Amino acid sequence: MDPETLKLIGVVLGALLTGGFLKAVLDYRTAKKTTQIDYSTSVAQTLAELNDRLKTELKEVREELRVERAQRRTLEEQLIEQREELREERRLRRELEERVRLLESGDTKP
Amino acid sequence: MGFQSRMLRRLPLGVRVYPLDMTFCFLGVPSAVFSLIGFSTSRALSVLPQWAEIGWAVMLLVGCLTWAIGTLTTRKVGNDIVITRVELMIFGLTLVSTTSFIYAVAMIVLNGTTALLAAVPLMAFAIGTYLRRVDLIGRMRDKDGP
Repeated sequence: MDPETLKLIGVVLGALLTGGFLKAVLDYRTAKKTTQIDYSTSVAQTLAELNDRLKTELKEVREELRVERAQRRTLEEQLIEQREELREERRLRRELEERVRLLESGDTKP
Repeated sequence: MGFQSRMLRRLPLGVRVYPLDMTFCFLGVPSAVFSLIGFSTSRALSVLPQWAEIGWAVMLLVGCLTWAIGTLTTRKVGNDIVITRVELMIFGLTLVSTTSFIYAVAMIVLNGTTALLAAVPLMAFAIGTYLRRVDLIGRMRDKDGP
């Protein structure tokens, strides 16, 4: 191959090299921009998902709290009834004890 | 757990997931450095003008390094393997692909068919890196993640 042709091919290859470099820079800029857009979109998406999840969890917690309060109220009512019954039982027991004591002492008067 | 597995776990995730990428990255670095400092130059590169010869070496060095850095940014996000600086990887792949192609063509131009044995693997490497670059760009545009 004569030197002139070789030189020409060299220049063409040099131009190709420069084109490759410019293409790489262009690719880099485009890719960076796309990544940034993807990143901001994904951050917004994550925040929205987080918000939704928090709202759902809050709703669940409120529901659980409501159920627990209702249960507590029922238990308190039961407790009051049981106390009432206990008081009544004590009163009856005291009366019975009084009658037994009177019978044992022979006093027929109540 | 064996010794090899323990050693492997100490390596960065990018090296474990893409060992061939890292190997190819470091294969190009000595050639570029030797060419730049004038320690050893290839006869094929003499086809190029002086400025292009230096540009070739710089592009190969920068390409290999950015490809390696891009690969090293591999992270595990949930069950996915994600390259966080994919733009660097694409930049490096484009540079390496171009320099490999130019070198292979220069070899054929200078030595004719006798250079085919050395030029064909280089050309295959240039096509391979180019396809990898195209694949990365495509996945990024589809938002599929690399």
